Amino acid sequence: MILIVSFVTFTVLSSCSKTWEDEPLERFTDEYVWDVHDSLGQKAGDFLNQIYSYLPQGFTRLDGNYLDAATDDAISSQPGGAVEVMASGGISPFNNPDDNWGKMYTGIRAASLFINNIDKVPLSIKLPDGRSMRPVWKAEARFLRAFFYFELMKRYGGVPLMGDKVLQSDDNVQIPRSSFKRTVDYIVQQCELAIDSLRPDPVDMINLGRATKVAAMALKARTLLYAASPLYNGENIAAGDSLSGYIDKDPERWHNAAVAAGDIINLGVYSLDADFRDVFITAGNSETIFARNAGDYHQMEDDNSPIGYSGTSAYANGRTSPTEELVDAFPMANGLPITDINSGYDSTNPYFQRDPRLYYTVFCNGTDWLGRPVETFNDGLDRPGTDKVQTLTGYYAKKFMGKFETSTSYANEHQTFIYFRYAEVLLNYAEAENEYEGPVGSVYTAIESVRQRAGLNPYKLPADLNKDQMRAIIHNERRIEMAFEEQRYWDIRRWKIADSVMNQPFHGIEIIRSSSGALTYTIVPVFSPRFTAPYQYLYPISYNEVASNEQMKQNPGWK
Amino acid sequence: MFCRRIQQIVFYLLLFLLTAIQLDLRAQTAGVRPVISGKVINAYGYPLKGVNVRIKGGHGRSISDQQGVFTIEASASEVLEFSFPGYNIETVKPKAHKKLTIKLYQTFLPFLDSVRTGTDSLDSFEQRMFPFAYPVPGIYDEERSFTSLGAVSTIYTNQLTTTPASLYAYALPGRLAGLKADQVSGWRTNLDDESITTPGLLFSSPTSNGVVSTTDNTEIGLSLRGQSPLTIVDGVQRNIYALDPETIASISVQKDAMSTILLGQQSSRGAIVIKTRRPEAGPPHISFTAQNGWQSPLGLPKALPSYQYAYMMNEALANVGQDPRYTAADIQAYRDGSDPTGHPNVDWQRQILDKSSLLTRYSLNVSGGSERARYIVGLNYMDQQGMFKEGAPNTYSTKLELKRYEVNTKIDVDVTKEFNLSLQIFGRIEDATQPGAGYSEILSKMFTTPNNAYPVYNPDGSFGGTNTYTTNLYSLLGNSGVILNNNKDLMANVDMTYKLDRFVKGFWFKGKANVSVLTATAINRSENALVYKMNVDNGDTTYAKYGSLLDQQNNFSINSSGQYWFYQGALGFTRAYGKNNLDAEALFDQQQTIFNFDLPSKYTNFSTKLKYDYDRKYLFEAAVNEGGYNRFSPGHQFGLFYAGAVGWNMAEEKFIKENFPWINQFKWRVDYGHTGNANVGYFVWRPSFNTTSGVYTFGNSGTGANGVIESPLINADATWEKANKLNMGADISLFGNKLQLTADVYTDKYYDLMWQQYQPAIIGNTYPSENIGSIRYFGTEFSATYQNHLGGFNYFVTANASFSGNKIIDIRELKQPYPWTKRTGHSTSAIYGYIAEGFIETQQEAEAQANMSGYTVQPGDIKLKDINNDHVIDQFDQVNLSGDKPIFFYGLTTGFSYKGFNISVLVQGVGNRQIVLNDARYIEFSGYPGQGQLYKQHLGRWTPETSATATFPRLTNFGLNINNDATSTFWLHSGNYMRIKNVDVGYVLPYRWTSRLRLADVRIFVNGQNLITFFGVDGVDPESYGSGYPTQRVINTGITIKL
Repeated sequence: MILIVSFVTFTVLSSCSKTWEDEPLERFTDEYVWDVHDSLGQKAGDFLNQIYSYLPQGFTRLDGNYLDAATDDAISSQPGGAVEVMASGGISPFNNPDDNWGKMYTGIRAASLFINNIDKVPLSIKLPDGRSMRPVWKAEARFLRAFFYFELMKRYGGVPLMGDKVLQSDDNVQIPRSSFKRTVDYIVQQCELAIDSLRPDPVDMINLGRATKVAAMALKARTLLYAASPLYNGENIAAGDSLSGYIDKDPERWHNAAVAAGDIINLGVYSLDADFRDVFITAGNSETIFARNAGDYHQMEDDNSPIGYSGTSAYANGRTSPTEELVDAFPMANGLPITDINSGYDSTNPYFQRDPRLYYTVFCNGTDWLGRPVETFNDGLDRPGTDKVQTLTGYYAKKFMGKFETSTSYANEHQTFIYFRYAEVLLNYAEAENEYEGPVGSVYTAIESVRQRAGLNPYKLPADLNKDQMRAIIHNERRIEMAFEEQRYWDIRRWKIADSVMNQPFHGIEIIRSSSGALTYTIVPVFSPRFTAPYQYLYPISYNEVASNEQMKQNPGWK
Repeated sequence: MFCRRIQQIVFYLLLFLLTAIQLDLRAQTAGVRPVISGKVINAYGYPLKGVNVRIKGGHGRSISDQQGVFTIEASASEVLEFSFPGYNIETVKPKAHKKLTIKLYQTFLPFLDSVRTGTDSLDSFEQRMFPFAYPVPGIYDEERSFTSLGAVSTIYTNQLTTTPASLYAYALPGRLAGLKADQVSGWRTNLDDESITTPGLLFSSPTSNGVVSTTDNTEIGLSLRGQSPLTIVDGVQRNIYALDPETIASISVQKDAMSTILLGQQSSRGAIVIKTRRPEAGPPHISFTAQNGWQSPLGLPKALPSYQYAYMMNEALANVGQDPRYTAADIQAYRDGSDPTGHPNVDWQRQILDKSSLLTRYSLNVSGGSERARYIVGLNYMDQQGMFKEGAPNTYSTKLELKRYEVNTKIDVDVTKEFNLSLQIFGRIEDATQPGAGYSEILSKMFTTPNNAYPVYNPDGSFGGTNTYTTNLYSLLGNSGVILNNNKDLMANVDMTYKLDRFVKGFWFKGKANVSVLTATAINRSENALVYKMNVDNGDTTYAKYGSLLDQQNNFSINSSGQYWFYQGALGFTRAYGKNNLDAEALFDQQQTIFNFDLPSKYTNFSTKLKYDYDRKYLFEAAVNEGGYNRFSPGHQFGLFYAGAVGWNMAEEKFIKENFPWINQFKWRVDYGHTGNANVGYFVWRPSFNTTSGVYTFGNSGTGANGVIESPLINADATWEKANKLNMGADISLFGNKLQLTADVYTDKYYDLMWQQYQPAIIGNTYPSENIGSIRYFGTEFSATYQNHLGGFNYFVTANASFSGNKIIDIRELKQPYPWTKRTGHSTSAIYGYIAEGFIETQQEAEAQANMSGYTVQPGDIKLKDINNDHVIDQFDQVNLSGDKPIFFYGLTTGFSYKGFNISVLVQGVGNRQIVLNDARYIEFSGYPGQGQLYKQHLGRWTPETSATATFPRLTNFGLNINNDATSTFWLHSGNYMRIKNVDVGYVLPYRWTSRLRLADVRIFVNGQNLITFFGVDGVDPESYGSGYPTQRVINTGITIKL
């Protein structure tokens, strides 16, 4: 009897209808992503969104610091962090805070997966001009993939080009690096493929943040500019090494770069915004070509405002300390550099009548903020000398912040990290054309328009500049116009000036306020960077990547 | 009231003495041998039948009857000795005309059945001994020790109950050969900060969010022959470590392949097997224990006072080229305490820790029943308080505390002669509270906040703080709200045994079904309070507030929920044909676990086991298991595992029996098996995609668009990890079982281990783990036990020692440029780091020294050896610092009982162990960057003046000095230690007194845990040496009443 009961129980137990699925069906498969019945391409569209997320982060991405804190423009207020490692030449195959290798290849894989599969989806949606969305989406993925390769190229030189292949774990991944030339050619070719299919400019407000035709043109222009630069074009750090640069020198490359930038100017779609500050805080302005779109927030204010404003309604962590070198790079409002005898610069009142961009870029002592002047004199509210992390240079970074001079607290602002804006296109053009043709009229026009918008008066440059003088002006203009936009870090490399710039001490200012309120300014060294040429001009490929791939060649000088 | 009680006691004592003397006098005057009669009882006051009563050194012998009554002729000067297998020997001088009551107690160490004295035939021996003998536990069944072929170590109730702790796991260190148990924390990890993510640790089923499962033991790290063992409670796998030790009959570790092979795809790991007590027939046995312990933390570092801190902070700042932060006046103010608000000096450990905290436990056990139906009920309550003070001011308790209520009942019914049915229900409720800031947060702040950070209170009564320290440690205790964790467990077991002799002689059927559920929930009622800094400016006192005010939250969350099913059916055959004994069994079981929202994880086993012996002399055992796990790809779920063992009971040979009668047992045994372990992720064979939310923003709305992401690369061929295990051992019993020895040697080769090989990232996705690792584990284990008595003085000593090592055979290591950077060929526990060659003394030395990239050494820094001579210190200069010696661990328990008095002492230790001490408590200023705490060891820092005697590098970069802080021999210490782990002293009040109160037995006891530690590093606990909750020393007192 008992036996029967137990057998019955047993049978019942084992023959119950299934409560649970055999596989976790919420984790859908590729048929669901590339749905052959979905004319809206819901999941495929989401997949494309994901590719955008692999775009590199900008702003205060390195322990709360700008990448520019690893250049002569700024230092980190807090010693010992990631950017200090970078500024002291501490990058190694084992430690690279700005590696991005894995993330970029993740993006490249996703883009290739999308390009290979999107044709399965019967998309019926169309652009306002009647074009089908499928080639548009495909071109977006293609553009993003080129962007990822560009990010790799500027760090490492030539890298493995994966083409459209999407490999699985049992495939052979021992893939060698392509030459620098092939890498550049691939990026340019992919951009050209994308340009005609992408959305027209300017993009409508709803699709803000999506890649457009001019975005691809700008990527191509910047790629060609980098490729024409001394580091790769003729001054390769290891002569004859095709991975780290061109093995020859060809001035025509400057021409290609100038033409690519000129094409954008000639298109006439974009223009400089009247107010320098609005470029960074207004959505859909006339200058921004492509940016990492984001919601409205006040992260920049929280990270970088002078520390004396914390404890009220605001966070103010003063993470980045701009250097005296950056402040001195800004001319007077009359357009003359402060070293010019006629400039009117007064070292006992150094922030008087300077380039307005200085006031938008750096908090100097006396700059108005949240209803009071910034106090970076010793024992001032923003440099109290206490335990707290505070400026090491007497300056705080201000760029990208809202117009809160007289407010009582921060409001949310549209803060997007801009990858390409029209001012850069002008500067790219000026630089390339000056290198190729010399200081011709179009070079003057391009650079003067940037100076004019900045509010310099007069903005005109002397008419008799030679090529070298013009180059110095363009380099300086790039530095101050695009400070904290992750340009200078790469510029000092491609111009091959990092070994001189990054091997001398950076300075800050020490301001003493007497009891009468008079201020005395002393320039003091604050940080000694280090840069070892030539091998540090390119990043090392991470050790594991080289060790696990027999075909992978390390960059010259790294082991 | 209390005084009167003492008076009473003194009175009774005097009375007792007087009568004793009187009796003695009377006895001496008597010349004839009177007849003594009396009664022998056990601890519960129930009669013991069959007790051997004899006159010591004389003739005359008697045996107690059914009622425990005996009579014997003895003169008053003679000594009567009472002996009974498994019980302590008792000796008594009879007192004439006095009816004796003799109480016998079970021996501290178990009585094993391996004794075969002289001419006993096996059958009569079994009959005589088995009712009292302790069996050897197996994962499902039990065995006699003389036929057991497994490598099994066991401890029993007595060795568990002396440990005052919240978990029985605390009683394991030093007691079981082969099991390494380290106390890594003094408090459980609360489930709200649960972070167990090691796949294969518990159910081999990491969920989509990385959490695997839950165990109630996060304090004792257990390693059995290098593996993380399974825990099996009464035949069911559940990770329950909080059982009342009084309800546990035995804990054993199953170390070899034969013992665990029935676990199929979990058989590689070894098992800890817990058997709870079985009901015993008879009138109700009631036992009540109340105990109260005082816990106090061990191994706290000694913080420096503010003035030293300030001085050394200035020194550190000068070392990195920065201005001093404190003036001489500041330092003076810190020193003389003249300005406690502006220049505080707060000893935070004293400020927020209680000197001792309470651990209270009560347990009540009742067992009894008729011969046909028996029951046992155990109730248990525990209240453990944490070491933090209550905090003020608050109106409700925010103390760190754990309360636990447990009930464990079993009913065992013989329905018919053939059919036995048993039902067990186990239930548990745990209610824990902690301050809203979380105890680990408070702890880490306590270790990193300097004495001069801020005052506890400002003069106006508000809590002190600054813009750096925006919380106040003392305020966190009482003003950060509270987090409550509530866990509930319920487990029900049904077992049945049916003897099928009616149909075929020797056949039987066993069935088991188990359901258990678990939920862990949390209520978060935390809040943030502000702190204030007093400023005096021109005579005006103002208070600046810091911190962010956060209203009290009221959140509820379910942290984990588990449902477990287990059922098992076995058909067996047990029969003897002459001297041939045969035992065969076919077994089916399935274990299904649903954890949170995961699909069920299902282990299925089909096994056959065969056991045969000839005359208990030649022993054979073999088992085959077809085990499956449903997380492997369909069609690749079942594997074949097998084990076999042979044994030879040498002492049974005629030659030995005749010539060496003092050898009671001498058994050789060898076993070999092929085992498995399913260590696989969640459906790793299946390619899939996931939705992600808010990945990227388009438009001006600020809301993120959804994305779709490809899951990691698949491993379609994932299979179980395998091991080939060989174990050889011997069990020896000598001198009438007084001396017992066991030795084991094993070598286990694990292969197809799940390992994530480094592969090029250019593929653009994460690689899966693959079956590529191979590691050999090897070791030896010894244990020896000696127990004997001198008259009624019963003493014992038991010791065990284990060596456990391993060697990596293959892990598909990346190609290494230097031989010393290779991991292959070394132990998995090897520590890699730099070789420190003292401090750099001079500038020239500093300039000649190789640097790490991004750092330039200066005099006073640790000099790291540039092994490959490339003038850069990098990972190619890291070598195996600790060596690969097998770790050595041992324990020794000794004690005695005499009359009503007993003592036991456990000494436990570890050798061949190295530890690295370079976390936040050892490196200067770590914690808050640039303002962390300093401790005593920092006084020995290098300065130009003290360079000859310095014991610590120069003070620098605020816990971020990559050169000095790197793992190097400077931070490496011998981790060897020895502990007086446990001492128990008890006294049973004389039966004469307690029987008047109708109590069968009253025992009062004092015991302690972690009493004395011998360890080479000052102010550091050798086991929980990080920044976690410190190990506690416990002094515990209690009383056990039986009736």
